[in-house]
Amino acid sequence: MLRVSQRLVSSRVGVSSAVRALSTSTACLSFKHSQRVFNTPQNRTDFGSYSLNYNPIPIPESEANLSPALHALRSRLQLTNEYPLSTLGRALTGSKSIDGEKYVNNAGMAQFGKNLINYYVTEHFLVKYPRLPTKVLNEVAYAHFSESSLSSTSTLWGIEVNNSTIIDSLISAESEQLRFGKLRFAKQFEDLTSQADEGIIELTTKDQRNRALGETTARAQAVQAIIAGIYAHRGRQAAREFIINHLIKNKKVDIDTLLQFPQATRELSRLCTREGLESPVSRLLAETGRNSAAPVFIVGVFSGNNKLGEGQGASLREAKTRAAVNALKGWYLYSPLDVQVPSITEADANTQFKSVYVDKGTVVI
Amino acid sequence: MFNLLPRSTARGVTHTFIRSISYIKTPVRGLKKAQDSAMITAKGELRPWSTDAANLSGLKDFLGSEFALPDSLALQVLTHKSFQHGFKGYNEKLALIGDKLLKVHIDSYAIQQESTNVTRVNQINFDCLGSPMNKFLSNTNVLGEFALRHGLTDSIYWKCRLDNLGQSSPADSGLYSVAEKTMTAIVGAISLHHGGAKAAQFVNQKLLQGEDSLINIADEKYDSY
Repeated sequence: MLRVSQRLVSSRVGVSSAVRALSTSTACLSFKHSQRVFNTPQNRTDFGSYSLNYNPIPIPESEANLSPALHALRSRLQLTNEYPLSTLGRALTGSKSIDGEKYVNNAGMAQFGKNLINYYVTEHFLVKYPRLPTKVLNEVAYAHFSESSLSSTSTLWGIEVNNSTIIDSLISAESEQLRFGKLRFAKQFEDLTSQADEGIIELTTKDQRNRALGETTARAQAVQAIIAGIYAHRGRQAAREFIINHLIKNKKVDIDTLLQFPQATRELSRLCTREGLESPVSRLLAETGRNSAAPVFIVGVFSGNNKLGEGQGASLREAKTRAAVNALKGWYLYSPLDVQVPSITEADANTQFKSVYVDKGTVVI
Repeated sequence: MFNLLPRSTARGVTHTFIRSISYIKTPVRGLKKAQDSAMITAKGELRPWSTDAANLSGLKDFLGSEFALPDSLALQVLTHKSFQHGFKGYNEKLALIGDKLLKVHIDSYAIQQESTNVTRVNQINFDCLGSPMNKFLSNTNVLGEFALRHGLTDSIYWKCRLDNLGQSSPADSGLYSVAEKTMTAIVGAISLHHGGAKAAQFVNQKLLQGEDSLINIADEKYDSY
């Protein structure tokens, strides 16, 4: 019989390095936004009087109607005629617009869409897996709303980037309406000043480079802005349904692999103490080939008469650890049945809502 | 170190017994602290972690009957992760969801203000988002100040950050950060217990209206940050 260590020492839940790589920061979006210049009213809290200081104009609906790409995109996303093409065209105008762009960009819409996506995605997983450790919950949600994820979504939606320069457009006499259906933004250029050959003059200024966007960011912002457009024209509930159908349901993340327990037995012991359960005890259930080259041990971890988990391994220690990990996964991956998300009441405040399970928090050791 | 009184032996030789007291600075693995030592509040009071009316009265008064929470959930809302090394139920996840929800509602409030901006979309002015004042509304200092003015900080269970001399000032004690977490946890708890519609009503009624609303506090403090 093996006895699980009873010492109560700190532990932590690790997150696999592969997923951690996904969590590269969202490129300081707030900082980029703060670079925008606003016409700020005298009463700073009068948000209705704010506007952008380069005095942009909206894309006229009559012009947007002439863009086949906008019609195609609207149909592809199953957006009804309630969603004007001028709004869709604005959503495809990058927050760092190319010089000379007279139409309003999607920066504000992207910020609002981002907040909506962050909330609904996090809410979905928090309610579905209420005991998930906070770090893992964040990683799972991030896998759905990160820039790279949203950028892939925009590719699936068939959003194309406008790669032609202003000079190209003038030479080919391309009509303006054709550009509305493509994602337009000031692209990032590499800093050539340090490695430019003699006689080569860089025409872009540092200021222009700072105002540029990476394609991944621009694509992600377009997706966020399209969702903000749904909110504006069809309401919040429609935006929520769109997020669930296009960003949550179509992406599978294997949460099981995200959980790692560097000190599984200690964490299980601490968890049992917190929950008022009997201290966990590991017991050998079966074994074969103890003296052979390939032994197999099966160990169960018990709290009183209740079996919490089971594991097998080539050594007693390995089997004991696997049993503790199995028990912890059983705890953290608990998912209640027939649960409602709180946002379901947003459409109708009279909807009967059953309170959801609230977890006490990740075990700290 | 101190000396005990010298003793004489039968041979007339004097022995001195010495007893030493050592202070072990490094933590001893597995050593458990007395639970009471972690229940001392930032004000130095010993306050048991329980659903006693005295502990929850501040929060209950603030919520009123309309947004009331069950006692156990209210106690969890008021418990920060730093309290008792996270051994009691704490508000981290409530604050996580509450923070995201609060940002949505603050932005919704801003964009739905009446506007004459030519670039508004279906009467919604998205152009105010990203402005410094818009971002400041959900700032740690503004939410912390809100909690302070509404008397919620006295009820929070948390571990105050102390310097080497055991002192702390409001600026570096972590109070505002903990108070911000509590405020967002309240929003999260109302959402998970009463539903999203009620949470929206709570934010609009309790946080964005009144003399000490987030908007007025942000306007007051804007120039000093």
